[in-house]
Amino acid sequence: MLQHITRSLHSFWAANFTVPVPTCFPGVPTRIDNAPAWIEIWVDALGEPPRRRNSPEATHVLITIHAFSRHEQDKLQAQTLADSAAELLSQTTIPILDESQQPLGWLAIQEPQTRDLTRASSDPGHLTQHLVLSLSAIAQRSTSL
Amino acid sequence: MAVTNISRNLRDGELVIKDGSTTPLVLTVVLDEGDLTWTERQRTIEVKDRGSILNGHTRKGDEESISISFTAKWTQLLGLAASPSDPLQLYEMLTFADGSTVQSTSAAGEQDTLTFEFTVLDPAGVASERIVFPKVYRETLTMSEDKEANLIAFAGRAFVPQPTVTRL
Repeated sequence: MLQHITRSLHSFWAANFTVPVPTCFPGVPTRIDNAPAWIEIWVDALGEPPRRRNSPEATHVLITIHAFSRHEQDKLQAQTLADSAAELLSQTTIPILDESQQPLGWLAIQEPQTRDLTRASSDPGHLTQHLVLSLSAIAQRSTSL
Repeated sequence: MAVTNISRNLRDGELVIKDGSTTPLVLTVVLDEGDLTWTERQRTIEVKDRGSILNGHTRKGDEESISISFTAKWTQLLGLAASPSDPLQLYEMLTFADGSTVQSTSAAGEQDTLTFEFTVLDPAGVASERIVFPKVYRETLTMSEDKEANLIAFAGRAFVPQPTVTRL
């Protein structure tokens, strides 16, 4: 299920996140050397609550999005990215598809928690802002499968 | 030996509800919380001798029906009742909703009842068991919202003093 959740989330993100900054997906080399801002998106944790053997699989999912900015003029770029990501994903339900785009179930994303992990830099001109969005979600297989 | 001493838990259970149709409608509850609970009561008449238990005696009291309850996650309330091509849903079966075609297991004029079959699989595959509750009628059906899943809570009684337990 993990590969299908991850693939479906990445596809949804790539198709719908319109802010023109690069997104780093885990395991995919992405050039960000000269980018003033970028996003990293992770499916960090999966957990299955106890369930009946005949019940459809339901998985608790933790999605984490890191928004980085080292923009020299726009000091709120990371906040803008975090807001855009939250707006896109909060309370959103996206289909989980297999390799042949057949529906397997649904990923119901809940409300985000945002944290600012920006650290002080000895060189104020090179401060990298770092905001983190954590979103809990529940992935459920379709009962008809 | 056809008995295993492995404790059973909610993963091993399966709740199936059947109606009284000639070919029964069968609904396997797939999103229940694994909290099926039933209580078999035994009533006893205590006859004391001038207030003394030591010299008193007991007699069997009236038979008591079984109380039974479970909770399930709420998906769709109406299926078959809304469209003949849709599958039967838990809520409409428990409420004998109009259009659901669910029939009581009791005779006409009696309270609407269903049959609950609770199967507990032996994790070792040796001695699974089925517990059958006939004539289950509803006392309360409580629908509640929650953060992750809304819930349907059934509470009722099986009009028998004890369920039928058989080894599969």
